[in-house]
Amino acid sequence: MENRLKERRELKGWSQGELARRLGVSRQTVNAVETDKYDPSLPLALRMAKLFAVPVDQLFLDSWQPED
Amino acid sequence: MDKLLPSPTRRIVRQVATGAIVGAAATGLFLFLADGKLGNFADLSVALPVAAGLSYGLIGLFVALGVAAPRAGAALLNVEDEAEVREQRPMLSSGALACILLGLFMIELAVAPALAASLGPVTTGLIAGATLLALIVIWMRESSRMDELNKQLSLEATALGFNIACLLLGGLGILAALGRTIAIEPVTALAAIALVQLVAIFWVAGRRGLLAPRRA
Repeated sequence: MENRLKERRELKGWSQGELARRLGVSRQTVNAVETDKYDPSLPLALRMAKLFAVPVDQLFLDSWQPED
Repeated sequence: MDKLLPSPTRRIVRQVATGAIVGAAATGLFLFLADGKLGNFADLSVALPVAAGLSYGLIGLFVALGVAAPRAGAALLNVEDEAEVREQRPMLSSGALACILLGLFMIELAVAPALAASLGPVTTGLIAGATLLALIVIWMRESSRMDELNKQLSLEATALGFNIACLLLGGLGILAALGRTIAIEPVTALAAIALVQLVAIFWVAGRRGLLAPRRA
């Protein structure tokens, strides 16, 4: 799933290691999410959104639309 | 082939080829040094556990080398830099130790009859039991340390490995029951599961692109 994690992280001036430390995950996990190799669990996505003070759907982009 | 493959794929192919060559050389060296004293290596119930044991053992040594020398580790292991090797040292060390112990355990099983003949069945059982116990303790400690990406990879690899092992060993079991082939030894089945699991781990990580060089 496409996401804006890298942009948000860079806006804060954090390295991947710094973000990983704040989230309590490995640097490999942060890298895998940023490069779209891994979609985080809902708890981790919520933690990321909380950390950057944005709604989850501003961090993770999904083009799906419900049918009428 | 180098010109046909893009750079990251080329690097993975090189790493896999290097691993295969080192593994084959180590197996050959082991068989040469054992010189038939540790069992009949033409027997699948000896050769397959030895191959599985050496595969895990070499991977463990490779990772341990990377942890001991972080600068070399940054080039050998799939990490961004030396600092990441240091950050991940507890997890990498446990992983390396677990691989080495699993490798030793498989080799102990492969050569158990020869060991029992020289050391006695009780000592052989105690050695294998102690190795297995250490492996279980490390595995339990390691499980609580894994972050969610590693847990997810482990789940996917275990599911894939289980399905392949069921197909492979189930198929052989059916054929043996029908009298179409001879039944394999339990230790051969165990080694096959270990090797299938190893392939599944690399497959799952590779499919997600996690074996490719990192981009920041």
